Amino acid sequence: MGDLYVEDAVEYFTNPHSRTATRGNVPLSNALAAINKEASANGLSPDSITILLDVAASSRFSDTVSQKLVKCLIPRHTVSEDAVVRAISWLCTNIPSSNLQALIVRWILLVYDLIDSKDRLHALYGLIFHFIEDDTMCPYICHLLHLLTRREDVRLFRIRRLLNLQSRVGVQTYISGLLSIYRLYYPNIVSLVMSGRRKIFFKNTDTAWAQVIRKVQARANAVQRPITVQVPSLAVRGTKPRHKRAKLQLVPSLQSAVDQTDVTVPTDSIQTSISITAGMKLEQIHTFEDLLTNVDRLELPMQVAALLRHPHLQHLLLCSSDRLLTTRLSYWLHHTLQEELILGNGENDAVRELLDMVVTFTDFIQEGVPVLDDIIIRYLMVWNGRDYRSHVLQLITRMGMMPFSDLRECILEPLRQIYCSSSVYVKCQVLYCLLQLLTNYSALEWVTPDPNSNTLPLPNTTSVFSPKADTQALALTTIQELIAYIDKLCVLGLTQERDHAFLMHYTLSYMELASTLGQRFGVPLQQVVSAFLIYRCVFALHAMAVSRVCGVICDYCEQYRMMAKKAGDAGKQEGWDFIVNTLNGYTLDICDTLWRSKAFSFHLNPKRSTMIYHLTSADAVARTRVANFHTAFSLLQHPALMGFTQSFLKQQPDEDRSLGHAHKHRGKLLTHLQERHLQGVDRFIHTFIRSKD
Amino acid sequence: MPYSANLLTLMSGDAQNVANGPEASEDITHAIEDLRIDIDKQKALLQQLHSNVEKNFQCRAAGSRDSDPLVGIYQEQDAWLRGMIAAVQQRGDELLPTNHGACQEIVCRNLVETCKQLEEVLAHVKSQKQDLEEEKKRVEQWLLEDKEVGRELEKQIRLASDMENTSKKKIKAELGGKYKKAHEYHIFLMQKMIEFVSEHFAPPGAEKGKQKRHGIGALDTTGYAHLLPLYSFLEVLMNRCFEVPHDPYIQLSEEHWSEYVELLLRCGIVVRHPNDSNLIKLVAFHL
Amino acid sequence: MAEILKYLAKLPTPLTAVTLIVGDEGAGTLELANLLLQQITDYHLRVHTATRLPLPEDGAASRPNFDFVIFLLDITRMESFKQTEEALQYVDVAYFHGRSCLIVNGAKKPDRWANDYSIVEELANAYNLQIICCQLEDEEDGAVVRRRLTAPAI
Repeated sequence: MGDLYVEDAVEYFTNPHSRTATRGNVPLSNALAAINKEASANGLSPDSITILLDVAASSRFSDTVSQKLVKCLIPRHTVSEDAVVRAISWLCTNIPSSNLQALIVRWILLVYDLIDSKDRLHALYGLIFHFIEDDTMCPYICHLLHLLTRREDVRLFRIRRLLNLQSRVGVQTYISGLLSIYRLYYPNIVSLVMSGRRKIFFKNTDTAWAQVIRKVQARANAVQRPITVQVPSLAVRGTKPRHKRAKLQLVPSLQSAVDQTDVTVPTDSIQTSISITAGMKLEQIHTFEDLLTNVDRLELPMQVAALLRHPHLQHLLLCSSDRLLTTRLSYWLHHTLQEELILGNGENDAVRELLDMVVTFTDFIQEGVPVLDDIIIRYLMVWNGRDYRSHVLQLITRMGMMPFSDLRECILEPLRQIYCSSSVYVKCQVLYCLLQLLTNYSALEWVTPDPNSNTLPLPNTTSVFSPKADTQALALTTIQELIAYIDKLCVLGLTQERDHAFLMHYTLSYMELASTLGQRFGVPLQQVVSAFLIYRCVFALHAMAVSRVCGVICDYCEQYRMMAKKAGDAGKQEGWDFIVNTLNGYTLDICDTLWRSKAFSFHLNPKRSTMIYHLTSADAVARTRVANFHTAFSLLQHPALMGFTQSFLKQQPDEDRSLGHAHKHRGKLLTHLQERHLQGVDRFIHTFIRSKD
Repeated sequence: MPYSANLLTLMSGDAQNVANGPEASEDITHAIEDLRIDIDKQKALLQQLHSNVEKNFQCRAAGSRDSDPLVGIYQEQDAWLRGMIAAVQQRGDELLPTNHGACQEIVCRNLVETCKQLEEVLAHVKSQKQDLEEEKKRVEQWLLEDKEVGRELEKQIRLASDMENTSKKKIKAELGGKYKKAHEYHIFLMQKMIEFVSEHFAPPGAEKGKQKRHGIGALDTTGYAHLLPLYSFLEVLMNRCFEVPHDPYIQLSEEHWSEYVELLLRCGIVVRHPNDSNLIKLVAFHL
Repeated sequence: MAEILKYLAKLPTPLTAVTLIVGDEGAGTLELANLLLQQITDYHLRVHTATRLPLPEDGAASRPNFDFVIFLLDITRMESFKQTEEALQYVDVAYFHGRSCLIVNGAKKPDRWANDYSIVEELANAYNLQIICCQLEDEEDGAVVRRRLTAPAI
């Protein structure tokens, strides 16, 4: 009654003279036990699996025994395709009971990734498809077909069969699952309404079984590793990566439409579509030069999403006039991101890789993909502000133009909530994102109208994705409102973070962008940075802010002059008075503060509408009990510049080293500042103070 | 506001440290004293305000089943904001304490803090610059490639228009070759099919003993000479399907053995016309 | 109307933030409370929890003023939504501008959502509440929520 060796046990099952009765058959139960033990400990070799599967599927022994045998088929490394093909052929004979049939299909699903090659199995696609009529097997068959389906398998009659089946048994997740992969290949012929939340089409019923297989595999691999260099199961993945990779990496690998080198189609030249010359296989394109020499001979891949993987091929998309391509790419992106981003849970590397590619792609085509806007807007609703942050923000910068009310509702408000409740670094990221959005809007969506024509100008770029209807009219309002919104965010952030230098840097970036939009993109000047931000910087504790804010004022003035010149006789535009007054107020205040030593001189001209007058009161200044407040923020004594004054004075001859003397060297001090990359102050003084001492 | 808040935290958290530290000066002690007095005043004021609030304000639930809570919320918010504005206007500017030592301490701390922040900014800007340079390189590369693709395409267009005539011949030859190949393959496939069908689904006339399945073989052999063999039947169907795709139906007649029709219908290879049961067509497997 | 959760019912304690988390059992109230208490803040943070509103009468005297109310609901269970909806009726209107928020737990398991997200959104909009979606048992997500809830106000 001792334990049998596996070989003997297998021998027992294959021996045609063995007794097949179950009841009271001790050798049989011994053999079964031996196999079970070995299988759950070390797994079975491919050969044993082939033999035993054949025995089980042939139903030579009783149903219970066969089922037990199938349960024991735990592969040590791989499963030979032969075994699976034979099992399928047994299924066709109706000899195994329907429970056993279903069990075998379940087993195939479990070991699917371990099957050493799938081409012959795939050749049986049409045959396997017939099993969907069997109610017991249908869920598993659908799953198996889902895994096996290639583009050429999607046929109208199959879709009809599935739809018929669906109308017979009702909407079932597994049928939807199979249809969804059909739709993925041919979105145009499978019209299918999917309810939004259904992500899991195929239930994993055999989790315990799967776990055993995983354990055995892990153990076998661990044992194997020191002996052979390459772990067999890994080698399998390496040589036949198609499906496994497609599942893991989301973005399919390249497979050109021309090249259908499947064993099922021996004469692939017949399949070639009618192109002038024989098509080049996309797999052969490795360098840009390859692409160039074959640019007119390439067939785009059957899975357009594979383009995302191949930067060279993206050029093809640019020169292709085929709208179907962009539609398919859009559809694929929408589908995949919907599944992974909105319905997925938490971050994972595959999605991150995909988003990386998408971001690079949008950079390459220099525009957003409209379907992504949709996805991002939906994702922002449930976004926690952390997952995929840099990707989400980068995709926002490529948002299409929309009315400001929509933009605020869908993008800005969710971002603001994140902004207000996050650290200063996240604030900066959000701000940077909005600045990029503003830049992209100004550069790509806004086109300076031609004063000589009444019609709206056409965008100066052609769009890869079909452009949305007439966004040009919106562009200006949205851009202006966006500027105002960013302004408020900066105010809020600086107050909240107590003028953190990091945020100050981005606020200044905003001011620099806003003040140069006219010069850079021809966006008309309609508003100026708010006083709060300007004075926050003028009286900041560090020279970066002081210098850059001076530069901003200079830029604004240049922009204004440019526009005034352009408008010429056409006269003043509405709102210019306000802009001029505000700018003058800023300029005067900064001059008084930095240069004229007249800061806070309310008494000089109480009617003057400088902003300081609005923000502070003479009373408050007096209450500080600072004696010489007029000069406290002058070039020489400004807390932000004091250090530079010191270093400057040290370079001077002894007699000039006191602050009192320094006053007459202010010109030199400006140069000194300039040498330290603080050009703003110098530029400001040069622009606005004519006689410089 | 930020300064006063700063001061508050400074004093509350670090008052002890500052007071006991080696640099504790008269000034600081004074400042703390001032602040304590201030805090006491504020506390008293707060208590007074609170009792006011208790007396004068009733709380309201925002939600009730019949009215929109937002109305109440916005009213409240409106009132609150107005109050805030009034308070800010009344309060005037908040200043640092005039006490010299305290001022110095605050400014020092602020400067140190700012320096730290600036160093972070510097590091960040440097890395950002690097990123931007890389991006610039990438974009330049793209531009270059794009231009080259454009040039190449133009070249191809020129070539194509030049060689229009010669290429026509070439295309013809090529298509001819393809056609020939396809034709050969077609014949090969047809032959295979004929072999297969003749072996497994022989017409009743050519009955062999072993073909008793599908209920075909058991029939009387005589009187079937006029029947089409299955492969011819299929051929007719296929030809119809491809030659007249808009009307792929064929009329059933006596030469179509009803057993074959039944078989094909059952296996889903042909379907009947929805209105006329005498018409059948091949399922469009090629679509 | 004593049962309504009143703002400023008591004098607030200086340098202390008292938070009330309202969420039914199983919504993750305790987890959230523990999360918040891990955060280092420059003020004292005290967290109270309640499974439903109104709060019982008898403890009223010893209860401090709540500065902030967190409504916590578990989107995978319908009762949780109902209870939050109910609780919102018993809160002083003063809490609804910037003194409360709605945390939606279970947001990362859309396949298990008991109701559509839009009704949660509607509820939040009706009360001017900011939504924070999260999966509290997810460590990193929890940290995000913690930081966002305790971020310094202006």
